Amino acid sequence: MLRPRCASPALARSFLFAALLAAAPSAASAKDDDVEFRLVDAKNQPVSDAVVSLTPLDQPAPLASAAPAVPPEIVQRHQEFFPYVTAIRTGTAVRFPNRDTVQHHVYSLSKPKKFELPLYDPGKAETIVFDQPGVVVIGCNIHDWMLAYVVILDTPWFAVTPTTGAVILRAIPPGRYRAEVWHPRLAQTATHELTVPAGNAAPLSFSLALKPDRRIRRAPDANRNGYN
Amino acid sequence: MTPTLFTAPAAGSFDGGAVLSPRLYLRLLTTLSAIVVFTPSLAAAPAGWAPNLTATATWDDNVTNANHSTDIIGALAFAANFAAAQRISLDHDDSLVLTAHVSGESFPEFTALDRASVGAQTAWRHKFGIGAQAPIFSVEFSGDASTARETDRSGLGAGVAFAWRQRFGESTLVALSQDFSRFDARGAVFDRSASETALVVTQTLADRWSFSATVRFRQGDVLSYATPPRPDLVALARIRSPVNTFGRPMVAYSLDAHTLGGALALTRTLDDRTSLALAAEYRATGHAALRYVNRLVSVALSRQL
Repeated sequence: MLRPRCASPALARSFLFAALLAAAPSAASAKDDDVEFRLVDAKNQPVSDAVVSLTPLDQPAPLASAAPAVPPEIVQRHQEFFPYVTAIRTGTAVRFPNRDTVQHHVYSLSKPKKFELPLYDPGKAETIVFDQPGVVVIGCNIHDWMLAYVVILDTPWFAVTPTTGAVILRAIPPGRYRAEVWHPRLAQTATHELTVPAGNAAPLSFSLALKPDRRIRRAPDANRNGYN
Repeated sequence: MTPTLFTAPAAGSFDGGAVLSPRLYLRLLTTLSAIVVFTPSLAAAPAGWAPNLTATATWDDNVTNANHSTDIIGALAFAANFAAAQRISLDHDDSLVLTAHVSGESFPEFTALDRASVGAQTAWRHKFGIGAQAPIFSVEFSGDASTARETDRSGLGAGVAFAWRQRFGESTLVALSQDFSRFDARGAVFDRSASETALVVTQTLADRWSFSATVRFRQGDVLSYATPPRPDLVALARIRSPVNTFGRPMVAYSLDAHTLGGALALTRTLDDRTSLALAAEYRATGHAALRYVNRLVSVALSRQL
């Protein structure tokens, strides 16, 4: 069994926000050409909202097929983004519907995709195409606590871990791959090279040293009144 | 604005009223805290309003603002504040925030000081750029009407505040503010004008904990209570009035004094809508030969509804 580890004394903690699982059934149903990822933190707790991917090393990644029939969405609701983490293939369009009762001002200052949806009224739904690989941090310029991540990948084999911390990538052709794990609280992407055999592949287990969660909190500061 | 921060207890006529025991007040506070914690989110709240309920218990070791040990009296106060804010975008960088609030403050041992107030604020905010770290400048105008058991303490207040707020990195927030306030009471001894400068640094520690340090400087009217005769205070006071607020004959002296205060607070976020803060504050007030000190400890529970 492969057990890459990221050694660090940092305290770990998994946040159980709405996890996006890209069409990955339960770990119990892994088949011969599947690769299963199992992620835990330093306290051996499952890590959700991590993006796992496999990038082929012996040949280029297959070209992207047609765009998804239903584009992924990052919804604004109850003054939060849902989901917290979204993984997409390079060139994918993502919708940003405002299903809230208040205006938002969605923006990204990240290099792979800088954009702004200012004074964005309830009921609106703009679409943004993410055409460069990388990690894009999405925020709201009105509600500082609103936060979401879009991870744009040049490979078709990826998924976001659910609350169980386990996810299966399906139908992986045999060959050498670079397995990568990204999480908002990882100091750097965890990587591991592996060879996917023609037969049954052993699960990939990662023990992640996550940084403390220092996100801006939505809760009103009991030490201060006023509109946040 | 924090009009209650340096508000001295009052004197003047007292309507009386039922005196509730500290135990009963503790029960009331517990009940209020339970309401704060367990109140469901107001899903049906008017669009855009951000209602917020805060319950606070504060111990002030010198509620009389006295400088003689025989006049120093400590008191526990309970306060509740309900506020709702509405943000209106003006353009890309500017917004108006309209806030209405209802609040009450109760002193179980000195019910003459109990009061309730209703008020509104209008704040214009300008954000210099995009992102959580972009600085925000705001100008806030406020007005309050308050009524007190000691009726001479009732009156109207108004203020203007200028504030600069900026985040540094992921976990540091710095806020600098300058307030000017005026309160016109029924009894002239309770009138007060003040200006206050405050610097607050808040640091997120880990996960759900944050720590803040506050430094304040205030210049303006304060009330200091003393048992007569006090010719030194008579010489300093702008105005004075005999009171029986604290169960014995005292005189309230209104003085123009300066106060330097420092506070430390530790806040725990209980969930996405609730936080609990424990704070300790030290204030030193002076005017000519008069010097007195307040030490306050408070616990506050706040919930966004």
